[in-house]
Parts: sequence; structure tokens; C-alpha cells
Amino acid sequence: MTLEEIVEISYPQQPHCPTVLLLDISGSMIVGDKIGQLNDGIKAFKEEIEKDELARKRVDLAVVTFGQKVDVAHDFSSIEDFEPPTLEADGLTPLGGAIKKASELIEKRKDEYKKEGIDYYRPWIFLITDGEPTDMNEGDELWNEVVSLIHDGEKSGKFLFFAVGVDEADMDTLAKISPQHRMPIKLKENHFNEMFLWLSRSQTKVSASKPGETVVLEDPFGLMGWGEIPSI
Amino acid sequence: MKGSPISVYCASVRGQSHIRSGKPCQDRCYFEIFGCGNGKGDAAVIAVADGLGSASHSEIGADIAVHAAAAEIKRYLTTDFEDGLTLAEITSDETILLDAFAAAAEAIEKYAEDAANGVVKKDLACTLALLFYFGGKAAAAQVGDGAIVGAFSDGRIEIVVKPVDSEYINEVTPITSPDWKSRMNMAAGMTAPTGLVNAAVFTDGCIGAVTVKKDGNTEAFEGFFRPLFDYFNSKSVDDSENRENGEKGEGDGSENDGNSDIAGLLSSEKMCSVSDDDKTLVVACFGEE
Repeated sequence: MTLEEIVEISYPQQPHCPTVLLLDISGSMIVGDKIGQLNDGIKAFKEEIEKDELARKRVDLAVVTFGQKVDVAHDFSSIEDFEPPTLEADGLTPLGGAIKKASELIEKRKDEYKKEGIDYYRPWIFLITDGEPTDMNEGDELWNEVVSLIHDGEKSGKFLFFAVGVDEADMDTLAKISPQHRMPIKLKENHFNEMFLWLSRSQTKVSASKPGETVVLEDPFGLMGWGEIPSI
Repeated sequence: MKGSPISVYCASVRGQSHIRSGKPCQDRCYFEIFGCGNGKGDAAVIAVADGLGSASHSEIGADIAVHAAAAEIKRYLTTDFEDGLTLAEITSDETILLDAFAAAAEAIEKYAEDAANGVVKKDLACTLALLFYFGGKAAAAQVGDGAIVGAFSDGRIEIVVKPVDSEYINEVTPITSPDWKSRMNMAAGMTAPTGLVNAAVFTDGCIGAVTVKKDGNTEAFEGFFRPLFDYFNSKSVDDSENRENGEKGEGDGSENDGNSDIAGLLSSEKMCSVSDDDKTLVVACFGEE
């Protein structure tokens, strides 16, 4: 008998790669049917991840929305069990509360992984907004809490925070919230789909990465990219 | 004449992901069995390194690390001190291991400093796991995410050195990092493994297949190690008549049957179903002194 036949192996659980989509569904998202493009983009993201054998097993997705209220539109699940919600635009932009909710969801998910003995990659928070926060102002209590949550969270490696501004988004405010080494990206008009495809390719790469491997993300600003350097 | 009671078998194989991308195997292993100073019987040193995927020449770093670290440990074990003592006997296991890691880190640094080599230190980043055995005692340590498992004379099979904790699966501290000392797991001195009959040293490419996680702890998977050690213990007895003193090995799977058996296992569908990374496994049988 060969060694392969003699030994048993342990079949470990796949490591998980968690991402929270943090989505603005305020009333202004109706303009230019941005909300429709957002809904289509989420569906495209699921379809793309499902095409990759490894990413399909490893990427976990949650959706937190903010409009009339901060809402967990879809709690963490595998891509297979992810049912793209149909989001409707209404209300204001309670961004501060939404960021806190996303961070809470991530910590809860990590605790579940730890309990189950599942290895995991560094989570991503991916924010898409077309406005400015209506639940906080620069320097107030919530603002300070949210900014230090993001900056400390990035610094201590709790998560990676990406911010995308759409249309009339307040890029100046987004830049102040974002980690200094990862400035917000301005979405080119009508490029929701390209952005979600980029996100799915990025997650596919991350979920296949090995210890010590640097994951180089595609440049979103190229000719074929979906991002513009914001003019602040 | 009967050879050493110690036998070591090893192989490093290229993972599917590196076969697809045309990259070389970035794992390296090296072992040596040799007579201790002052005629104190045989000793063995095993070194295993895993070059980081993000470092462009990490297989060179891994190669330098295993040889430099093994040479430093051999120096301790073979240098006669005085009054019948070897240098190893007047030095703590912890110091020997720390010096061996430092020797590996310095050798990599020296290679990077030579402009003719055209690489910088971070291009050579790798992990390192070390085990040495002499006089019936063993000590081991590692910086990185492989592990060392032992079988003991009372029948236990346990992890001797765990992977160094890192919250996220794709992050690891290499020995080229200035923080390597604080990112080391060690089993030496008070925590040294006693009664070791077998040891297996392996890289993270094997870890999913050969360990289990229980309550957040990494444990050896007995279904893998018990038959593995049994297989090599009987092979070791069969081979002992032909074994020569001063045996060395580099894990290219060609030196003897045992090595090619390991290479076959590591390349098997079973092992590759868990990870497409490079894989190294070194199995030691310490026999009877």
C-alpha cells in the first residue's frame, strides 16, 4: 500500500472571506435610477463570485443599508445562500450609525468563526454613498466615534475600509472618514456594474491568497476602470 | 557495522498553484544526522523553511535559512568544550535555537547586502522551523505557520510547536522581519518534548490535511500521524543495516525510497484536495539510544 492509502487526512473547513456591503439607499438614489443600478450590481457580484470555484466556497457577504434607518438588509451568509435584496430608495443618510452597525456585524462574525474553528481573511467594509452623512457633523460625538472606529480598525487590522462616492457624494467628508492610505474613489457615471465586477475579482483574489502573499488589486482608475480620482 | 539509530525522511514538492503559474517550489528542507562531540552518540538537526509567496526570491531565502540554521546547531553539538562536555551541554536549548534563527536571519541579510545578488532582504522572506535531537533530548521552535508534531514513548501524538498565531489566514511574520523573536513558538528548556520517539516537521501547505481545530486550538490529526509514524518506524528498522553515518538530505524526493514515498504522498490527490500550496514534510525516527 502507498502512503497515500495508509494515512487519513483531516478535511478542514474552507477559510472564509467576509465582506460587508454598506449601501446608501437615501431618497436621492432614485435620481438617475442609481438604486436600480445598485440592485443589479449586487446580483452581478453574486453571479461572478459563484463562477469561481474557490471564491464560491470562501466569500461571505452581508448587506447593511442606510436610508430611512440603518438596516441589516442581509446578514452574513455564504454566496450560495445569499439572496440579493431588492433595495428601495427612501429617507436620509445616517452613515455614522451604519458604519457602527457594519463593524458590529464583523466582530460578531469573527466570534462565530473562532467558535467554529474556521480560519478567515481580513474582512472588508465596502461603502457606497451618493450623499453626506445626516446623523453626524464633523467634530460631534458620533463623528469622532466613527472616525476613530475606522482609523483604529484599519490600524489594528480589524478590517479594510473602502469608500466609493457616487454622483453628488460629499467626497471631502468621505476623505476625512477614510483611512489616510486609502482615499475614497469617485464612481464614474453609470459604472456600478464595472465596480461590482472589480469587487468580485478582488474578493476572488483575496480568497485564494496564501500566507505571506501580497494581493495586488486591479487599479480602479485605469482607462477601463470604474473610478475617478476625486477632485476635493 | 550498524548505522545510526536515527533516521530521517523528507520531501518538498511544488504546489499546484505554483505549477500553474510556473513558479518554483518555495519550500526548502534540510536535515543532517551526525556524531556529537566527545563521542556522545548521534544527533540530528531538521530545518524547514517556507518562502513567502509575496517575496520574489523566497526560495533562495528558504535555502539559505535551512542551511545556516542547521550549521549553527551542528556547531553547538559537535564542538568539544572541556571535561568531556560539548558546547551544547553548557548552553541552554533556548539559546541554541535563538542563535540558529539569528544565524539564518543574518545569512539572508548578508546575501541581500551583496549587490551582485541583486535582491533586497524582503525578496528573500521565509518562515523557519527547527528541531534538534541529541542524547535522547529534543528542542524545537519556529517562526511562521508550519508546525511540528511528535509521537512520544507513552503513545501520545501531540503538537510540539504550533503555528504562530495570526488572526488572518493569509498573514504571516517571516524571519526577515525585525519582529521575528517576538513571533516565535518554542518547545525548549522546561517545555522541551521529552520521550520523543518520532517527529514530523511540515509547512503550512500540509497543515489543513494533518491538523484539526478544537476550541480554537490546533491539534495533530492522529488518523494521519499514527499510520505515518508506524510506516516509517518499520522502514527505519529495515533500513538500519544499510544506513550510513553522516546522512544528509534536502527533500528532493530522490535519495531513497522513504523520501520518494513522502514526495508521492505530498503530490497525491488526497493532500492536494486540501491545499494547492507547496508542501514539505520531514519525518524523523529517533530509535533507541
